[in-house]
Amino acid sequence: MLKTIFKKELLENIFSYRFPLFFLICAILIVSSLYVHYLDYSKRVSDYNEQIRLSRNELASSRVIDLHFGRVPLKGFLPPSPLSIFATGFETSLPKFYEFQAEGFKPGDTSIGDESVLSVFGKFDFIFIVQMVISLIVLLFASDLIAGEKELGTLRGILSNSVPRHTLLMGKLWGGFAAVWLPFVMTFLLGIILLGIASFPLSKAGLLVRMIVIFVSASLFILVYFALGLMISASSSRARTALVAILLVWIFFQLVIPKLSDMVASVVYPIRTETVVSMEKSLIVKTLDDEKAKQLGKQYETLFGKGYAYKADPEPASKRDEWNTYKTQLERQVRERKSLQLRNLEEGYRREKRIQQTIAGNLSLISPSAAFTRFLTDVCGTGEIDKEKYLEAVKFYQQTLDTALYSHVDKTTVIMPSGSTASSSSIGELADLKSLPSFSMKKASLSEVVAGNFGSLISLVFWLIAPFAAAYVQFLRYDVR
Amino acid sequence: MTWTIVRKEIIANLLSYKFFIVILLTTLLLFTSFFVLYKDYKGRLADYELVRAKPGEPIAVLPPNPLSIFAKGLDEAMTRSFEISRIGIEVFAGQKSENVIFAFFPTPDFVYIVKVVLSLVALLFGFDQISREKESGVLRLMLSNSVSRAKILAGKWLGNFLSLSVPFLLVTILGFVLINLDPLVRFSASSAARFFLLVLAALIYIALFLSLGILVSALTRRAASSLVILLLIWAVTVFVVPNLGTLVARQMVDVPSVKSLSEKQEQVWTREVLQMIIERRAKDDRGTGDIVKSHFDAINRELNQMEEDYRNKFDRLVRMSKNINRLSPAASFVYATTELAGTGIGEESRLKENILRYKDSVLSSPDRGEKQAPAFAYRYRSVGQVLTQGGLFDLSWLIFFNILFFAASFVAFIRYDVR
Repeated sequence: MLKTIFKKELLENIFSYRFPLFFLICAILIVSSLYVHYLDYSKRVSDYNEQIRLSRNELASSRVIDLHFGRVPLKGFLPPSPLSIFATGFETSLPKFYEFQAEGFKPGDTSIGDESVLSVFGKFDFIFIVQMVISLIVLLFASDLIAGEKELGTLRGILSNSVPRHTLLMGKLWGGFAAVWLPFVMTFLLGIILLGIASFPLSKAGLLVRMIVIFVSASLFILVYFALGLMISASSSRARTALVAILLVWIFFQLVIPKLSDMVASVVYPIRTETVVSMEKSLIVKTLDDEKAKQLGKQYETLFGKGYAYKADPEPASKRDEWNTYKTQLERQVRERKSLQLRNLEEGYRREKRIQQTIAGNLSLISPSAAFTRFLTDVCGTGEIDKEKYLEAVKFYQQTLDTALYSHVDKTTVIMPSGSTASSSSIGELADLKSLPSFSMKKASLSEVVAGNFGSLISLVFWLIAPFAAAYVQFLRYDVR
Repeated sequence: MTWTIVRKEIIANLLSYKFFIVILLTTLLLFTSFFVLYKDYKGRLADYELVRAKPGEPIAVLPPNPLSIFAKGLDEAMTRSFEISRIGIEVFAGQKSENVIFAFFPTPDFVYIVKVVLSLVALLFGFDQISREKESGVLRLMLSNSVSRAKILAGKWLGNFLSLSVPFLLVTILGFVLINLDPLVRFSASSAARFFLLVLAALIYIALFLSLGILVSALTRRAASSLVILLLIWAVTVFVVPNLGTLVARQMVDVPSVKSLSEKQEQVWTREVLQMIIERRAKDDRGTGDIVKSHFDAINRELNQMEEDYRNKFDRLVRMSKNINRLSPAASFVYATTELAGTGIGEESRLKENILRYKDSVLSSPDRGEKQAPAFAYRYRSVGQVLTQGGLFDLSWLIFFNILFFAASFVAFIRYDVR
């Protein structure tokens, strides 16, 4: 009996005028979006390679000593993620590169800046299509599953046979779902085949597994919305009421919850902006450096007499040792204090920010759409996890450069009690350019992604089960007359 | 008679639960949007106070535009800081919204909500105007009186438009006034005027979708099928066409990538430097200052030429994609409103031109001391300029769609079988 209902449901949908329309929309949207994003991705890859080459050339033609003094900044570039053709995520809004200097690193421009003009309409990637457009259409398909048949009177006819309600509901669910799933599968495969023809590296093992994950979770997501539609249809006695209710639910999940959660988080837990924190950092550095220079000046005068101009190797030579030990000691102290204070500030800020983001993120998980987006952007390597990884890699590289390059430079600034300043800089041994590591970052593995998205997955599973259970309860009590 | 129908429509709407929920939701959405973007604006304003150029610094940074609370557009790209140096212009992130969700979901500004949600709401009001009354038999009764079909249609349109636009206007104006209470975000008289034009554009856009809803309703026999068709049209106009236009334009206009640009630049450098060495040899390295200068000037000239060439091509791409996108009224609406708010494409390219001019003035200032660089000043285009440079076209394009849909629905309704 289940099979008969399944077949009836599937055929009814396939022969309706909605089916070819949905097919057409899927085909246009999914295929064109994959194609556009593929073009975009290959452009970013060639730009990335070009910029790496340019910065290598620049490095090769510059003097080692300039590197030590940070006159030629080193750059670390963000490698484009191949799966960004499915989900752009943070990919275009992160800085394309970071510049490393003795004073620290600073972010370069984002790639959205180049062509911001073309992005007024916002994103249009695969995830967006599934999440916004397909979910709505799927809800529409589900809207008249129960209420529509009741209005037509067929539901009465079916139930006068010896068929239990749960079998009927199951048949309706799977038959209806198959009717929307088929066009999705076919256009998805079409898009993938086109990508293969356009020489996208499909066969790479990691990519294939991730694409399967994307496909499965998108299918499940569609099922979530279909079950939601079924639930609403089973709770309303007229198809038109169901339609309006469905639209409201859709707006609520797609537009209201993600934004409300963000707003609630920023109200509940306000934090400083990044610019403010970086200003505070440079203030710490400046105060400590000034203090150090003043102390050095005072010591210099007591050792070599008032009014003696500052020199890197002052006379009399007998006091040079004392001066040098004092200088190294003070410099070490100040360095330690500086790094301690900076670390405290940085870590405090990061903690605050993480709390705020966790609040916003967890609240948004109420909506299956937000959970879906979060999970899939991470799978595509353009989500929050890889954003953190990028920042960590940048910090790690700065540390490497500090030990390998910048710590060899000995810069001394002295402020005399009389107010005059003087400075000297010398350099120890020069580093070997060949042994200098280049910037690299490791993308998150699939297991890391799954572990980091536990909440999203739970939310998706909840939304998979709950509407179906509710639909079942509602349908048992449904008045089919 | 028309007024009787208008009154009937309004009262029918007021009594329906659909109206109640829809209005509640719209209010909630609009207030959320105002609040989120207001906070975003304040954050960016505080950042601007920190990164703004000190007197004499050759940096061009704009403060965030208060109207970006309603139409964010390209404001974030426009408020980056552009640092002028001998080598060129270095761009740094200026004031950035530190918002996680913004990166995932489109910025929920007023324009977006009107474009996506209110158009949908207008369709919800329009989709069953004719077919529902036919199904319930009211239409038959109504037409048995001495009332023309034109009057019924006009009454329906007006009644629904009023019951949709009055709550919307109230909420919007209330939001505007509330934001205005903050002394940091006081809007000037001209921004208030811009805001009212923006709301006017929103009303025209909503009316357009209402007319479209009535049109499809007059073409179909059942309300359910009319809604499905309308949703498909909605998805295509709001999401598909505006993005496909950009794709098509990209295929038609070939814009060189960074790679080919940098290759060409390197070619120029090597050629000029080689020539310079040869010429210096010929002169036995005496009095070579002029030669070096002339070659460097040549390099500068060619690089500028190349840059300009690139910009011209890019402008062509933008213009073409804009014109294709205008096939969808949603695109026209976005163009008109962002330009009115001063966060649109035209404003951005004008700002870029001004920055280039500023660079020339910094580099050619007599003492060339970077400490004494003149301050950067930028004036947004006036409302009149915005309207003559495309804004009026977009608005009239929207009105054209309105008239077209209404006329078509009139024709469809005259031929409608009310039995």
